[in-house]
Order: sequence, then structure tokens, then C-alpha cells
Amino acid sequence: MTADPRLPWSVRFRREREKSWTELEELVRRAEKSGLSALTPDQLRRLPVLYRAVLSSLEVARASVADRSLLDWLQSLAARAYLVVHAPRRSLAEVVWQFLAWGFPATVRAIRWHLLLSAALLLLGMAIAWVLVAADPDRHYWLFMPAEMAQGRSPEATTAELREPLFSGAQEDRALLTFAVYLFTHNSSIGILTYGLGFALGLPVALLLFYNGMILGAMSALYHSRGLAVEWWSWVLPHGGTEILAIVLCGAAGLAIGERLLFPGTGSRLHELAVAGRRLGAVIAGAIAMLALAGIIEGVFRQLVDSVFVRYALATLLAGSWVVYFTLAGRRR
Amino acid sequence: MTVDGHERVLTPEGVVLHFQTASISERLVAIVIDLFLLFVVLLGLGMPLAWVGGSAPLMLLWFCGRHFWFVWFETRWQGTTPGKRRLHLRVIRADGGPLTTEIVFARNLTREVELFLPLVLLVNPDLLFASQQGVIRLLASVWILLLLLFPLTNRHRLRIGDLLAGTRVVVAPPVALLRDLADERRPVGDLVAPAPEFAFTAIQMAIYGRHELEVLEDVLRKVRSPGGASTATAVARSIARRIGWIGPPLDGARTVPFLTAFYAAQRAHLEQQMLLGKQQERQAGKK
Repeated sequence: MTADPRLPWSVRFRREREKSWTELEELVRRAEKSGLSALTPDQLRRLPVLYRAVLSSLEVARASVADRSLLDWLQSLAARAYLVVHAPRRSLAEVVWQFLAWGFPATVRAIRWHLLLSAALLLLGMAIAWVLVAADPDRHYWLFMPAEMAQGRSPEATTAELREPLFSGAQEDRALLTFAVYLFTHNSSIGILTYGLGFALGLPVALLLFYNGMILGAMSALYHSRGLAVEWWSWVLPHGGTEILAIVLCGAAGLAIGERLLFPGTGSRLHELAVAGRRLGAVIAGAIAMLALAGIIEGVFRQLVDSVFVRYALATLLAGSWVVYFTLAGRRR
Repeated sequence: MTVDGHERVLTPEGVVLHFQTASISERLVAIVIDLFLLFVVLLGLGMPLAWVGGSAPLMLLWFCGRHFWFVWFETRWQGTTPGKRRLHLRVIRADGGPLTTEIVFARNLTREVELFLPLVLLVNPDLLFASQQGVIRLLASVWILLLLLFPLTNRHRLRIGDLLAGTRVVVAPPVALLRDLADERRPVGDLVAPAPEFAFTAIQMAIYGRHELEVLEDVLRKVRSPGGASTATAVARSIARRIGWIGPPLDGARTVPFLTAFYAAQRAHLEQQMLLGKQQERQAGKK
């Protein structure tokens, strides 16, 4: 049997392989529709074999087939199969566990200098606001305090009024919970915003950190001026320690992105940015988890516990845990 | 490595795959669909939730919906969302690896800055700038709108999120395997050229290239559509003139067999040339 010389060789090429191509197409269609789990063990074994066969068909066809529609179809089939074959196969629980046990602390350690800078910016804002408010509360307090954050805690309030929100007795359950959720979503949105703002060379991130430091500083100065320092910090630290650490982490991630943009390092700017962007995005995910924890402490714990001693004990315990976690966890893989 | 409108991805097997870059309008439509669905879902879940639990669960729902709608679908549906799926769009990794949760998360973190912030600015600027006036407001507005327009500035149509996660959005409409025009579908093993009454010489085959072959393929596939037959006749006459075809005149009934035979012979010739490492891209003498 000899082929007619006037007949394109791709006719034979296609006839010999078409069956395996369409078999792969059927598997891919099924996997696209309802996932790889919809395939039988036999089909799962066939999938990579057929996929490689189509890739090699595609390479051969590119070099020696002049049939446009066949080339287009092979290319599209190979692309679809590639996406099915190389889809990530880790379960969500696995992803979360690996991230918490290894990825998150390791990444945080990798950006420790940004973390330091980020914390310094926050503290600087805090110090400046503190000095200003301590000098003249009436004039400077509202300069940087948004009304919805203040919740009535202002220089105009009496000392008793200031003391009241620090202890739960007076507050209705639901109002406190609502405020905790509001703070969680508000802070998480700020954290997410910092990541995006890192793209503007990190400058807005620095401002945001500075500004959040100012809010904290202004309020602290107010409470200190009324002799409520111990009660104030017992209110802030249990949830605030975690919360502030999370915001500082987001800030550090934003600064690191800004840095990568300015100084891409050895690879191409686009590549380096992508590598950094993925790792630092994960930091934001971890920070959101931390903010959720802070929200739970704020909404539940603070309602139940009025003892200043227990509050400080919890704050210390949490601070110690974070230090241990971020310095020791995930060192070996 | 890149041509306008194309993404080339090197698979781990070492084969380069080509993808078509999704256009701005396609992505915009996909986002509108997603936002509409998100709105419907939020409304459907939010009303009963608000009735039962007050504003706290509502805020949580709004937060999760806004930030995790895209993350949820892109991880579950292999780089697509309901809107993207409708338009056959898909997120892929620029470097060819698998799309991990981490990457999907990273590309969607910037939506806040890139999409929701500009939207708020366009709909109700006072929400953003309650106290700022004048120059600061103008500068901030310009800056936020620039973020929205960022995909227009590069040929990959990258958002900042795509840049930070190293992803591309491509369009991959379903392609059907069409009939082989050169194959008469006789039983396997009986491979003979169609209609031996049309035979061509090597000199006649050397005139046209692959580009013309693709045009001819289109003409043949559309021969049954309106106006297709008259185009085919005109093309057949033009080819006959160009290659100096000597034979009976190409009237209506003989046009398609002639073109099919010419197509098969031309393809056979070009493929043989390709096997020998020669490419004949276009008509001889033309650029």
C-alpha cells in the first residue's frame, strides 16, 4: 500500500491519530465540567499518556502540516488538556495547613527589615500624635481622629464617660459584636488596600501606617491625660496587640512590593515582581486571619472578662505566642 | 517572546502553547456579569441574614463577597469565574506552572484598589473624600482612575493584580475539529487522491504558499454559505489563470472539485516542502 504522492501526508497523519485525540477531548471535556474526580481510574491513567501524545502531535504538526483548521484544533486541545493536567491538586485544608505551619512565618521572617520599618513608621505617627494631643487635646485631637473610630471618646467627654467603654458592663452584647465585626472588616480592608498601594512605590503605605499610628497615639494620649493609662492598655492590648501586628505586617508587605518595583534584583522586573507579589499576598492572607482572631477576642473575650489582670495576662500570652510563632515556626520543611 | 495579542506559555513538557490575550471589552463584560451575580447573591443571602442577625453578619457577608468571590471561583474553577466562563476567559500563569491558591489570592488582592475604589469614586466621590477639597481631591482622583486604566497601558492587558501574581487572562473559545478537506473519507488504507481528472505539475505547485492555502481553505469551507459559490467560481478562475491551467472550462459544477483537487495537491506539495525544511509562506514574488 503506497500513498498517492498527490495526497497530503497530513491526511494519513490525522487518520492514524484522530481516535486518540478525540478520546483525550472527551476526557478533558468531562474533567472541565465536573473535575478530575469525575474520571474513572482507568481514564486517569490514560489522561497523561494521551496528553503527551497530543503535545507531540502538535509539535509534529507545526513542523509539517499545512492544514490550518487541524493546527488550530490541536493547539486548542493541547491548551485545554494542559490546564486540566497541570491544575493544582492540593485540597484547601492542605493549603491552609502548609501555609500556617510553614509559608506564613517563613515569609514574615524574610521581610523582617520591612517589618521593622513598618513598625517604626507606626510608632513615629503614634509619638507625634501623642505629643500634639498631650500638649493641647482640644486643638489637636480631631485633626486625625475619624468620628466613627472615636465612638464618643473625645476630649469633650468626662473621665467617667471615657472609662465606660473600657469595661463591658454598660454595653449591649450586640452593639459590641457589631463594632468588633466593623473593626475586623475595616482593618482587613486596610490590610488589603496596603498590598495594592504597595504598587505606588510604597509611599501611600508609609502614609497609611503613619496615620494609623497617629489615631492610636491620639487616643492613648487622651486616656493617659485622664489617669486611665492602666485601664486603657488593658482594653487595647488583648486584641490590639494582634491587630496592630497584623496591620504592621500588611504595611511591611506593601513596602516590600514597593521596594521590588524600584529595585527588581537580578531577574526581569516583571518576573521579580510576580515572585514577590505571590509571596507577599500570602502575608496579607495571614494578616486577615490574625485580624479575625483579634475580632473574636474583641467581640467575645472582652465582654466576658473585666479583670485588668486577666486582660494583661492574655495580652502577654498572645504577644509571646506571636514572637515564638514568627521566630521558630516553619524553619524546617 | 511575545507578539501583540498573544501569550506564549512553555509547558513543563517543553512545548510552547499559544493563547489569545483577552481584550479589555471581554474582561469588562465578564466583570459586569460577576458583579451582577455577586449583587444578586449578596441580596439573596443578606436580607434574611439582616433580619435574623442585624448588621454584624451583613458586614461580614459584604466583606467576604467583595474580597473572596473571585478567589473562591478562580481556585475552584481552575482560573474562571461565572463571568469569565461565559466569555471563555481563563486565568493562566505566565510561566506555565499550575495556578495555585496563593497566586489566585495575590491577583485578587488588588481588586480593592483597582476596581472598587475607582467605582466608588465614579459613583459617589463624597464617600471617599468627605473632608478633602481642591487639589488633593483632584490628584487622588487622577491617581485612582489611572489604576483603573492600567490595563490599557500594556499589550498583555495586565491589571496590577496580574502583574503582582504573574498571571495572564486569555480567551479560549471552544474549537471544533472540522472535516479534512483533502480527505474523501474512504475506508482507511484506501488513500487515493480525489478526482484524478485534475492533475498539476510541480511548476504549478511552486506558485502559491501557505497563506494562500489558508485563504483557499476558507473559501472551500464557506462554499455553501450565501455568496460562497460565486466567490469560489471567481477564485477558481483566478487560480486557473495564474497557474496556466489547460483543460475544459471551469463551469459551475466543476468549480468545487477543481478547487478541492488543487487544495489537496497544493497542501501535499507544501507539506513535502516542510518535511524538507523549506517554508513557502506566500505567493512567489510577493512579500
